[in-house]
Amino acid sequence: MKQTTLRRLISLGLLLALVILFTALSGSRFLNANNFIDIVRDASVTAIIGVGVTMAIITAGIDLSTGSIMAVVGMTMANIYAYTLWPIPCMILCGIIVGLGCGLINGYIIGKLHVPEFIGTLATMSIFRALTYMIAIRDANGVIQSQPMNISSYAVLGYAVGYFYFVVIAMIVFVVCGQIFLKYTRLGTEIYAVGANPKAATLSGIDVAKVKMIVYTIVGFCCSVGAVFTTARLQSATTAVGQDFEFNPIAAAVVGGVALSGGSGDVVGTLIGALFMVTLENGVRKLEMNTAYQYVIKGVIIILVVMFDAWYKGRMDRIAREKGAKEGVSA
Amino acid sequence: MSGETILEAKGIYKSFSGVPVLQDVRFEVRRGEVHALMGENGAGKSTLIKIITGVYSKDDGQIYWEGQPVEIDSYQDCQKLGVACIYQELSVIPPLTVAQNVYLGREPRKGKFIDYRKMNEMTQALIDKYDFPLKPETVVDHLGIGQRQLIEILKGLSQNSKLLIMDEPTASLSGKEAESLFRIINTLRSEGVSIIYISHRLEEVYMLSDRLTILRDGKNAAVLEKKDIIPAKVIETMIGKVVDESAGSKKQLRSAPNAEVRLDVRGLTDKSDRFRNISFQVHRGEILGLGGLIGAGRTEVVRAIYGVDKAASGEVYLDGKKLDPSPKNSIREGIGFVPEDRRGQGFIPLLSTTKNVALTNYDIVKTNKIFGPAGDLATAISDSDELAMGKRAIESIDIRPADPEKQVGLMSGGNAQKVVLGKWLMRDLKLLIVDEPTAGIDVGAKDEIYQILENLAKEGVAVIVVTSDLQELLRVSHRILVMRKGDIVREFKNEVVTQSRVLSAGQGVAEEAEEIEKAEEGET
Amino acid sequence: MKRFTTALAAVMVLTMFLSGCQIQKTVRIDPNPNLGASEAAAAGGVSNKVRKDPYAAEQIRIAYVAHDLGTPNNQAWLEGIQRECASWDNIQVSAFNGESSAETQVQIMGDIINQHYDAIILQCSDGTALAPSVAQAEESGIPVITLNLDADTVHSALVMAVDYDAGRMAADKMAEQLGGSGKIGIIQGVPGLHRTDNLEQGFRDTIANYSGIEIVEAQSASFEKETAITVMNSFLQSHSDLAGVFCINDAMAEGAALAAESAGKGGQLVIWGADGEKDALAMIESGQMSGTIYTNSWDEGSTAAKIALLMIGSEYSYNVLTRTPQVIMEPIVATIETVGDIAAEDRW
Repeated sequence: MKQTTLRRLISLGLLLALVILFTALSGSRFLNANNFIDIVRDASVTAIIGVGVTMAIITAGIDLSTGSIMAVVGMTMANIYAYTLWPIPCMILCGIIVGLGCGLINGYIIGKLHVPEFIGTLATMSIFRALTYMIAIRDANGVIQSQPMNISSYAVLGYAVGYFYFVVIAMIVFVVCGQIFLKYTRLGTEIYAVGANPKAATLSGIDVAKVKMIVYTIVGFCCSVGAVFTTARLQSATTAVGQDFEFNPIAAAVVGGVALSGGSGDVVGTLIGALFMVTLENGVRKLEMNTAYQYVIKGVIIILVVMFDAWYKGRMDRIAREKGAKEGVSA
Repeated sequence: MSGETILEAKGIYKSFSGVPVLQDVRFEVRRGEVHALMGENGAGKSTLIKIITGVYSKDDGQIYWEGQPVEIDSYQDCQKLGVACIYQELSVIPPLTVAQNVYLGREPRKGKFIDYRKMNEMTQALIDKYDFPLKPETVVDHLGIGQRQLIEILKGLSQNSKLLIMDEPTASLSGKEAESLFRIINTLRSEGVSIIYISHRLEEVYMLSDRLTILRDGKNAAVLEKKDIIPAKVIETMIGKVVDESAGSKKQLRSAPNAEVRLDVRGLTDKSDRFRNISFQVHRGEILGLGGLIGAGRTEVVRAIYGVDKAASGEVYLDGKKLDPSPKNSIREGIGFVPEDRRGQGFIPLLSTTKNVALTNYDIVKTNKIFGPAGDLATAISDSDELAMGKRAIESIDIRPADPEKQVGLMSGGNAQKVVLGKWLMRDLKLLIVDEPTAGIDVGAKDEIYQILENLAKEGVAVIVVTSDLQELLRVSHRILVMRKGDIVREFKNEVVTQSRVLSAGQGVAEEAEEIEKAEEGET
Repeated sequence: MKRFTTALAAVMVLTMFLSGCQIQKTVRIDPNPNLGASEAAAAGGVSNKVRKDPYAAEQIRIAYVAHDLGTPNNQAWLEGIQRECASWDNIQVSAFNGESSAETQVQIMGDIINQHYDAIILQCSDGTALAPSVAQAEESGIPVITLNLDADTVHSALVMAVDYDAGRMAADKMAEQLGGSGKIGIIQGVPGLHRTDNLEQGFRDTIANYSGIEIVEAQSASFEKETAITVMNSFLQSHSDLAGVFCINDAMAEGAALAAESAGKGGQLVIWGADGEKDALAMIESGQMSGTIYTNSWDEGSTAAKIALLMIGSEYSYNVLTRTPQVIMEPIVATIETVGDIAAEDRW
């Protein structure tokens, strides 16, 4: 069986196992349409950001600054909301420009200055969070406040049309576009090439630095869209926006089959991973277990899938060698 | 259309930090020929290829492509001319399909999106033309090394390459894979593609090549036409001395009589088939040389004995006691190991001589006895004892500079290697394994290292020396085993051995050398 | 590319400019305030509340959504709620951990509403962010009682320890202990929370009456003891004559006290907290801390539970209200003189 297919089946299987488990334990409290709509809604922002993070991980990189980019974007919009009367679309556009800018900074640091991805984004994680504090809305005493953003033309982004929340629709658009981008465009193929074998990519005339810059800018874009939907749902912006979004998208990608060593995985997998994470949270809540268990389970699952990936890679290498030894070169 | 010169390099000079690597080298490839390039390690083959492919810049000389002088400054330049290099470390991208790999960076597009159909068709057309056993849609992940190599070739051909450079293409291929490759090379030749074929394996060169250029010490040694490619002659030209005559190319091996067996290896077999069913013994006070070509599995065998890599099956006995090979056990039982990649595995460049020596010996460094027994991780290390050990190492084998605090990374290759050896000399050794002990070390230091090994042997230590340097192999060994493709193919003991006999055995050539040997055996 | 970079720089500079200068905030007038009525109903909106007898119904489920279940205060509230409900077998209390994140709390609220709990006791990490969820719960007939941290929408009740007044009380008592003059610092909690902001505001407003006392430093330590130690150290380094510090919660006051001790100033500084947790009271007794504003959190929790049960049994719902009713817990100023009055069984 193809590795990608097998890996997809494993993440789907994990998700299904979780659904079955929680159904058995909580019955109709878990297994009902409203709850599933909720799970998809809650997973949407993670999945949207996951689209970008997936690409970063496919290039054998990582982005730890996602949550902080969200906070900067949210606070930029809050400032425009509080101090100007610019139309809402204009406010959102500014937020997205800032998100793209943050991503571009990451890309520049990683691609052109050759700072390792982990360190580079770790640094920008705190820089962007600090920027958020610097531009935070304060009262006369300088005490940071939560800025309400509850005008209906903005808050509507947090609502639903029929059964579909706008954020879910956005998520579907992102996942579909992300998947097409990765699989059917030249740049998408180059992203895989850069992650799997940067030397070979360079030899094939691919500009590795440019690919990385584009990828991290895409991450910034995903984060800014995530920030728009998060603040619209919360109808406010604080400095704490996005604190869960540093690691959740990475965890979702890993569960969904994106190998941290780069070169494999796709956006659909990350969506499955995001659904898995949220289902886990949701189910644990239904059981009224201590939330600490949820983190333990998350951690254990992540270790297991990473172990599987390593084992599977080793096995494939061995099979490739043995195949060669036995059959020679044959189709 | 075959016959005219396609690539010509004239008067190529290249030196690295003052050391000449290529001197007035001339190299010429004709259209539609397989041109082999041979030479001992360090003869300058790779440097020449890197100059042709634009990785290095030449100091002097001129390259002509189809009669026109050209400047090649990057790999892209050489690709544009129509030269493709099939790299030893394969540069295919596993998660992509065959077609994606072939057209990476040059995908045919329909609008913004890749036109997979057209790409697959184009790949299929190429595959059909040269009759490759591949399918365009297969994901490379599932392919063997041989097939991956074919993708590389295909990629070159898709760029209309007229010259393919293959550097040790069969090094990691199985017999059957290699056969397929040879068939494809023949097809390519008949299609008018030229191939530069670099290999240590004489029988392949003999079978495939139309002409052969031999380099020796960075100079042209010979260009042989097909009819002149005779193993004995080739080896003679490579070594540069008339066989059996000059000193250092011939030695009377003598094993110590009646010495008891120190190391006994029985049926050692690798997990991934890099060596099979290896059995041999080493005696007290014996220096066993392990010869053969790079990639023959020698390093893998000694790593398995020391326990760095686990073998799939087989047993190792030391002084009759069965070992469970692991570095920790090996150190405890008195086995020392000096690895091939000195800087990467042998020492820790940022630490001092003292620390490097002490690191392996913390179980015997005296401690302050406050916290616990010697060797315990929590035990405080006595600085003065540590320093004493560092000084002892420096004195015993004359490490220079004689500063125990000097960072090993800043020392010369020879002295760094002495530090690596030195840390084992501080222990009661029973067996010492050294892998390429003098690679990149100057002549003076080489002799010192041989002296150290010989002294150890005199003290009763068994020594295994893995080396690709034939002169070295003959110089230090009391007995020689030659490996080839994962098997021990020859043992030389108590007899006169020459460089060419060792080389022939390693290359799988059993002709004149064997006959001479038989004749000798008949006499005695 | 260049155009993009310019646009980016422009937005960045604009934002800095906006927040840096004290421009008047604008008020956006909502052209269509009922657009999102399905989720955020305004006061006086619909309610689907069904009256239930909390003591006779088959099953009553009360959800407690905490800011962070790991803190003593949150534990004390939970215990208070559980004690109140323990006498009836049909009442079940479930606790949910908001993990200090408004995003998580909003998700939890959605889940609870879906499952039709009978009442929610909520401590809002961000009053604005939780407002839509609170409104949605009320609309679907689930009374919401907030604890200490208010939501920006009308709901059944807010049970709170005094905050603004607690700040005032602490300020007056501190001024007295300082003898009316000296330099002091403030260690803030997580910025943007009503309670912390109000406490600080009350404190500042009152200190302003004492001309001899100067607030020379104010920094956040995020409610954390460890962080407070660092913050306090930096205060002490830049102001060798620092006379006192007011901390928005007790954990930070404990940290500040430890920092003062290691700087050789143990017992010399006036250090105040504001919660009244067990450890802080003990430190007041031993002289390490100067005082705190004690609230009986067990009582507060059980009061919230009582109101929840009352609302479940009531035919009224939030839509008859024009503003959220407040139940204010009586504070006790605990100093070395009065701390003995707080009985051991009331210490949480």
